[in-house]
Amino acid sequence: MTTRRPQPQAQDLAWVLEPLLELPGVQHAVIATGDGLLEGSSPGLDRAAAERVAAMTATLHASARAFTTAFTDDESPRLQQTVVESEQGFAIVVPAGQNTSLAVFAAPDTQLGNIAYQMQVQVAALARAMSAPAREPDAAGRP
Amino acid sequence: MDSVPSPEPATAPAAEPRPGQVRYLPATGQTLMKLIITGPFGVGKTTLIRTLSEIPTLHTEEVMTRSSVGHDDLKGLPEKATTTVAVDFGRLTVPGDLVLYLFGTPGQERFFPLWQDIARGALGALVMADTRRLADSFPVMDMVEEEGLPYAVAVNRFPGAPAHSDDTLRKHLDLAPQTPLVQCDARNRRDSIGTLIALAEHVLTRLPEDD
Repeated sequence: MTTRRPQPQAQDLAWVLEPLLELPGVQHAVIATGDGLLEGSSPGLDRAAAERVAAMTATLHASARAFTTAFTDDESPRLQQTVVESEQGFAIVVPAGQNTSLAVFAAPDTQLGNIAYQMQVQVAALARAMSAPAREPDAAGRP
Repeated sequence: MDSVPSPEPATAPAAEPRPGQVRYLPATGQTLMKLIITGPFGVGKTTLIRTLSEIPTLHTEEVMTRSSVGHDDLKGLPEKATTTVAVDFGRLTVPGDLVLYLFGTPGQERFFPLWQDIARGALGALVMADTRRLADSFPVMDMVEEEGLPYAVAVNRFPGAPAHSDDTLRKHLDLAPQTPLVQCDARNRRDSIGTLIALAEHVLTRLPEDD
């Protein structure tokens, strides 16, 4: 494969997710790249589940942005957060620096505002610590 | 185009709206058809929709990150820097007042859970293929067949990719005799329109006749 900088392992990101998981009602948390790959996840999700969440985090975030573009004609709106409410609870996605998003799942009877605030705090910390660098043209791409 | 089905119900009332009455859709004699543009990663789905659409397209393209190395193979795609993670959308009106709504899917397997939702209500699918990795199109052809969607295959001729005759491609893709196969350059509008016309004609022959 090509040269790649050491990526943080899933467990290295525990410090970002832990304060969120301590909040009442929060069940899962995932850090995903913009193109839908897993960067880190909370222990309650097995790897397959966390990878599915990462893919759909990218889908939801990009759809929410295209949805806003469709209404406003703004080609690159900056999203604050995307919230999906269901009988199962709340799924919340917050952009977390370059090409990265933070996703949390919380119980239905939860304090949404509190979680959203804490996510913004953690995102600020995460953005300082890491972002997913864009892929550079690699040897595999050359004919 | 004898077999064009009757227009959508929204086109039925011909009466002028009263002043102050909201008209949500214009009354036209157009036939609306939803099609999906699908195929494996990096085969040219977003490019084709961008080439064809008569309206500004909607895209959900994201920068490919270093994490995708080892997941998303960029062999033969030196220019590719972004990838669709949800859906592309465009529209094309063709002669005969047929309006084609184009919904593009993502190509990677990790986004396949979306596939059925994007395909819902579609009358047909354009499955795209690259001669350097024809087999990559098989999982997508399987999904299209499971949905029972009529489909056509568009082979996107990438610069430097090996060229083959239609017959050879049909054999390697194991296509049924009635499945249309069109070779195109997804950056070329005339070529790309040809793929959609082949698909639309195929779809229309499968629809029940009016009356």
